Amino acid sequence: MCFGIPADCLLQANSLSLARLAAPLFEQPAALFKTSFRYIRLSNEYGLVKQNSRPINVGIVDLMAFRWPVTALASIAHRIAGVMLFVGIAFLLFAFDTSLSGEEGFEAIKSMMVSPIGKIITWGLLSALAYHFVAGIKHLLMDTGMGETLEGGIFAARATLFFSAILIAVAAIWVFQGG
Amino acid sequence: MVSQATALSRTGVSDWIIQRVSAIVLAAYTLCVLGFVVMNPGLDYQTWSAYFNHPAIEIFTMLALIATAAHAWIGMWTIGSDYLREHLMGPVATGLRMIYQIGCVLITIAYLLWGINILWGN
Repeated sequence: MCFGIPADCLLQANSLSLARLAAPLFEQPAALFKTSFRYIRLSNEYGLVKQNSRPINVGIVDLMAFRWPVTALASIAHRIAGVMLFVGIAFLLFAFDTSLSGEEGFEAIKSMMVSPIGKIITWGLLSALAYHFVAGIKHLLMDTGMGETLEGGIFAARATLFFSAILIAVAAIWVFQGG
Repeated sequence: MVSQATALSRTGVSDWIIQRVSAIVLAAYTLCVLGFVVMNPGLDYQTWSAYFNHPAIEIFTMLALIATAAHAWIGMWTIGSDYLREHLMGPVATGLRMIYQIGCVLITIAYLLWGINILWGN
């Protein structure tokens, strides 16, 4: 048709909507659907989908080219919070160990937790925990089939950010206002 | 189906279920311990150690430690296998991912053993 490009090729270009590009950003059981994390690269020259071009996996560099939907933000924050908790386990086990070692250890941890750095670490870990908790509940609910549409996913992501923000604020008041 | 040598259970479906079950255990444990701390504002050593010496809490803590290890293994493995990849950083990715995943597994096991030692050691 126009410029000698087959009509079905144009159709494919049109169907390459944001929703389809963002599809890999919706978290799925990663190990289950690893091979479905694919899209067809747009040809730089024509801005059209190259027919039969080799599918490639979405990587960080590719993702930078797109705007970040709220679902993607909620998803990456879940991962960041998870890594924070993984590192934080060392602090938690240290506090657990020392606090149960005896009266002195218990008081030592108590005073560490009211020092400025101690408060920041406590609040940081509580925040990561709060976010990971809420996002995890979202996952478990969506596993039951709730909100699997694009609208449902956006709503769930917004709700996750909203409820975790409240919990993080409560944690801040609890840690910084209290003793 | 490709089975991944560094994954916790070698199959995605099994990893998926373990991730959910451990999540529920950890969510319940978080509410249990955090609830105890919030309910006891001026917490002292006697109350704290008595709490963790209670058989039910000991078992629950043990379950939470195992759940943490499984959950962290699967989570850190997923992140590594998503970002440390050949098409992002070239052939070096495979070696890097191997080192990262083995490192995560060793840290996870160290955490588990440390936790068990605290819980049952004394």
